[in-house]
Amino acid sequence: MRSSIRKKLLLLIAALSLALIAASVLISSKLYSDSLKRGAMLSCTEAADSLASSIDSEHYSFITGYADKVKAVYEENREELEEASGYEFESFEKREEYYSRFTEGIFPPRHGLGLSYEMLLFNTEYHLVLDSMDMLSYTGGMETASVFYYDRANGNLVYLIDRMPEGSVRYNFPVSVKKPGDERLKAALDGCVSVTTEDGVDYASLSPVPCSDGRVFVYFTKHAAEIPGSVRLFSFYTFAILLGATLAIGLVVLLFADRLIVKNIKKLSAASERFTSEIGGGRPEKVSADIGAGDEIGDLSNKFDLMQDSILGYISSLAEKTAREEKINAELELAARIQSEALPRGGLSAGRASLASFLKPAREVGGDLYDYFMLDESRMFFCLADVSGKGIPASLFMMRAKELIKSLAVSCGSLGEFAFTLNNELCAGNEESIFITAFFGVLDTASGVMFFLRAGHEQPMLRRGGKVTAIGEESNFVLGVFEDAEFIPDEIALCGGDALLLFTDGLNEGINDRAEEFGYQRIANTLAGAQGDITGALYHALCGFCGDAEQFDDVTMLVLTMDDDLTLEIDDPDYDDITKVTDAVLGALYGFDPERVSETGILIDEVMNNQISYGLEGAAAPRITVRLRLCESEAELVFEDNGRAFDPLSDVTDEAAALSEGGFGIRLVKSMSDSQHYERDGDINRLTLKKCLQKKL
Amino acid sequence: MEAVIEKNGTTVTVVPEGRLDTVTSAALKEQLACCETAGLDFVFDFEKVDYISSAGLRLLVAVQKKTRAEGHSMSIKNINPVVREVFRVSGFNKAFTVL
Repeated sequence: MRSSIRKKLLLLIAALSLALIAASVLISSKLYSDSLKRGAMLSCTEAADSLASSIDSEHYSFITGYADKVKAVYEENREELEEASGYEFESFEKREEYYSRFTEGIFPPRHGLGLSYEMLLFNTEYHLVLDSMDMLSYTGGMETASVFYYDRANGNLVYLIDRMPEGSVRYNFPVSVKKPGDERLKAALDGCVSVTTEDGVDYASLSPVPCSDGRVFVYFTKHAAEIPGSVRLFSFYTFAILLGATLAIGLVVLLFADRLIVKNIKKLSAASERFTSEIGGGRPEKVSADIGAGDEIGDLSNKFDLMQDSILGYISSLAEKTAREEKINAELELAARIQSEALPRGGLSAGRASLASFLKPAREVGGDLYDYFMLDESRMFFCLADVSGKGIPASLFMMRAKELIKSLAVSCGSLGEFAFTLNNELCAGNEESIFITAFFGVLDTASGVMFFLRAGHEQPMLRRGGKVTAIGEESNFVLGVFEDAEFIPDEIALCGGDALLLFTDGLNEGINDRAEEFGYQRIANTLAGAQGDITGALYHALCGFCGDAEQFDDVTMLVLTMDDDLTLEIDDPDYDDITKVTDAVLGALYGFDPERVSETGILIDEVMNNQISYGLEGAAAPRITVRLRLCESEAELVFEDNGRAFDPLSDVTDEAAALSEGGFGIRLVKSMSDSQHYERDGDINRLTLKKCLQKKL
Repeated sequence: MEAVIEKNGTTVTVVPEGRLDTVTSAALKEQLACCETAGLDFVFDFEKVDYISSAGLRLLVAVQKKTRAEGHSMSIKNINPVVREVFRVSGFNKAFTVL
């Protein structure tokens, strides 16, 4: 559509011109045609009137005399002549021959001459009239010119003089009859008035000769068949001239418009095309359309220049911004790496406790934080915290908090003091009101006693014996908001086999495609059933739940597990195995009240001595299993063997047996343990002893 | 366990160490059998004994029977609370001379 304006303009001019030309041609040809017709009628009328008055004034006596003679012949032979007017003669000569006998009486033939009517040619006045008729016919372009005698009674026109056009054979002899066909002619004849009738392109004018008293009429006809032709020619010329003129005008307008508008628009178009390719090619520069015109297009060109300026400005600022953003993104990536590298890896094991950590960072730097380290040989410190917000502010705050936590944990005497000091440090200068939710724990890795402090963080979940419960019902304030807030730690004793899960909201608030949260219940269910790698199982479950939905938050977990029961399985046992079991169990109980630990050794010795000495008799593949399970300060010892069913506890009721060799042992067992329970489970004897390892106060 | 056995005039002093249970009592019994202890008073110094089980008690009962039969005495000294409790529970605190 590049030359669309030009095309439109051309079409518009053509349409307008054609309409104008058509209108002009129609109107002018109508006017022309009318004037031609009017002229034809006028010339016809004038010719008839002029001949009539000429005859009246100059040939009066001739014509009346002549008319009387014709009238006499006509009246005598009227019926025959009327009939003859309908004849078709074979030739001019036949007609001449026929009419000669009627004219003989009028024009007596002279000697030496031929036919009677030719005698008329020798009549001077007849000749003069004929000359007038010739002249009038010639100048007016008449077709026929005749002078009639009018027989009013019979309505017949009787020829007196008929001009013979050159070369014509249709000469009407005097006395031949003609019936006037036109009603208006008849009316004019009867009323003795002049009339011109129009019949298509033929005109007929009738004028009475005044002196003849209504008997002699002049009759002229004009054939104007050339009028439509000349009108067409006129129209054609008009059309051609107008077309030529409008084409010339249109061309001028077009050239002018082209020069003024289209060329400039093309220039603008080319400039904008060049500018577009400039933009595509790296270092764009301004392209001037170079239009000097002071009209609207010049204005448009100026605006185009302004637009280029602003686009170039925008592009350069965008490029700067993009470069800046790329740099920031690279730095952010680095920051996220540094941040995650600042967190400890590989877990920590001490005494009966093992700690495993898990961190799956979201895309940007975050505020999740955990740490763990030993405060001394047996006390393990661990914490999991979440800084409010995301991005750089959160991560900076998090790094600061991490260093504070580490230094304060070592220097403070209690968890309450630690949290108090940490909170005040974080409050100081915290204009942004960034806060931290956290869970801190200090675990005695030997006894399993754990002091903990929950500051607004998610409640950790404790798995014990297949059941999962949330701990730390009461929460302290979040950190970093309330200065001088008091923090009160809580205490719980962890047992062998316990698993404590700490997590940030990235876990429970993980969402799937239907915007459902992973939630606490799914965490608890997964934790309850997890074997071995608990954090791995939880993350796997989270990923399975979330599917492809993008996760926006870090997923951070700490799992603290207490070494499970000491389990010793002995096949084909002998007495030396007692020593092995005793060493292992007493080693596991290191740190408890030594007397009670010693008493536990007696329990093992007595029960295993019994099992080996008596219980396993007859067993095909003798096997003893000893389990130790610590819960708080209570030790649970489970002894199993596959010997015959035997309840060692029942024997003691028998006084004699009690005093027998083996009886001492059972007495000691009952005395040294806090509870005893025997059961037969299939082909297994199971004796369960519980012993409190702390001195009762 | 290797107990220290010292003869000093008419007295033999036995100093066991650690646990006195099924295994160690059997070992101590063998160790005593190798020594010529006839006609000597027995003194068990339990200074280093952590605890004693019924097997250990049976060894003490056996030694006491033997020394009594020879007209000598057997005494036990420096017992810790655990051992004292075992003696009490088993009723041997009345049968043994505990110094």
